[in-house]
Amino acid sequence: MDAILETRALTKRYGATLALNNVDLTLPKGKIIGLLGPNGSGKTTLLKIASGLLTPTSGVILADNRPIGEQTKSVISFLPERTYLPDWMTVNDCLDYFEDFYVDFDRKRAVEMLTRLAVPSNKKMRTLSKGTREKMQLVLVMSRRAKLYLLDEPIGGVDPATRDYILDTIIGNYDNEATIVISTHLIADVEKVLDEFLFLKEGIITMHDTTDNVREKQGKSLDELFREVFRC
Amino acid sequence: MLGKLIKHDFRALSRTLFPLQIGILAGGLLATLLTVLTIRLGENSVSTGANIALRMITATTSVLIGVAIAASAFVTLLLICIHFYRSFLCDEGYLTFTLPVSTSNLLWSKLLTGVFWMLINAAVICVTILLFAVFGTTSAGIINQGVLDSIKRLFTVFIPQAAQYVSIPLMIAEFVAVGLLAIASQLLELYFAIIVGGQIAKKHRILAAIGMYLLINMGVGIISSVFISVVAFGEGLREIALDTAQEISMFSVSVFGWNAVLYVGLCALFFLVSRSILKKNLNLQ
Repeated sequence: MDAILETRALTKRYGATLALNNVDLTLPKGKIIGLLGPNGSGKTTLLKIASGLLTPTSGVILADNRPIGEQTKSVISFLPERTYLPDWMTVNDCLDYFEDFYVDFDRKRAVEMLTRLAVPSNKKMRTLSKGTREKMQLVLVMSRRAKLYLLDEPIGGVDPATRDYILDTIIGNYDNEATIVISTHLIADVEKVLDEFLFLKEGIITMHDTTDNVREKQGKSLDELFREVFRC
Repeated sequence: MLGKLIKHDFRALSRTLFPLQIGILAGGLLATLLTVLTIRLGENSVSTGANIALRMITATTSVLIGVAIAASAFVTLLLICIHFYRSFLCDEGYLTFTLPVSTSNLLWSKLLTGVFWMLINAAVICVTILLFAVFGTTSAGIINQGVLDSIKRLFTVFIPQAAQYVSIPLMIAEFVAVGLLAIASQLLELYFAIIVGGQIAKKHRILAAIGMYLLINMGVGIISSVFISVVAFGEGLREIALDTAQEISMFSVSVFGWNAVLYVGLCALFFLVSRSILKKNLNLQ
């Protein structure tokens, strides 16, 4: 199978807490996949391991058929939950930075998106609002021609208008060859764009299916299924 | 990729370190001016209350500026460490560790830019002290001729004398190499302490890093003392009385050489262990 991300018995412990428990997973190329689960289910941990920010306790993880490292980082575009751009950098500095390190970075596209957002290129990060900084990060991440996009809670904590902007940006920049993994617990907002979904509960993948199957075979929306599965 | 990393690290550090070095030079010039003023007021004026107060203010100011210049080496080192900490262990780490570059290159970039700025700082302090010595220590004219004569004597008398016993280019090369290795080893020791501090503490990482540094520094001190003592005894240096220029030169060359070996060993140790932790046990919170 042509997998972009594959894990075998992937486990991550934080002291006594098991964040990921023997996760076996194969994500295909060219799909938009929802990584869904309540807070603390292990979504961020999985994305951070795939991005090379966390070391797994045990198990195997391969991205584009390679162990996580320098080469996989050149094909993975990761959007973390937090803002990571240094506050002294200007918008232009950030574009230079991405252009220098990522050969797949499309500066022209990034500039177009920033112009639409009316973000001045000489503005420093510290002068931008939190929302604009988040959009700026999304623009940088989505302006890469990566094989795998890992987006951690891209629509968490933003207003509905911004959610629409973010989802439009994700879909608008989507290349059919690439895979996008969107981690969220706001199912209703993203389900219309998802090809597949994964339910993650207490570090275990409890379900991996296509959204069409849920709608056609179970006659439910993904949001309804999520509420059923994760009912407290 | 190393060149690009260095470019961006240099840019990030220059933001704070360049103004600091300019400030040191400006402070040095001000201290020079105030000291000259203090000296001349002391010589030429009668001791009125206002005059004494002015002399006290200028003297105190020049001493404080002198202390600030001396402390600038510590501030430079601190700013380099803060940049390392932010790039590797704070939110910026998400940017740093998702770059398609090797862990070795990340460390090399931080090391080379850190060493560069430490050298710039050392050069700025030397220039400032020289300016102070030449222009700020005389009341007769503008330039202190005695200082210039001493510098001249260093090149016309002392160095030719020393050249009879040792190779001056070799001595200078050894001095530069040991200096560079000492700075590199000090920086890598600090980086290592920050990395280990970040690994063992989840909340008070800066405190943990300081604690680790003190512990590591103690260990390094013991290892260095033992190493230098052993090699010095081994070379029979304890037999040298250090009475003649030849003996002093021989002793210096030997101690310099063994210190270089020690610093290379420490640099390699700190670099390899830091790289191994970042590569195999990175857990960015």
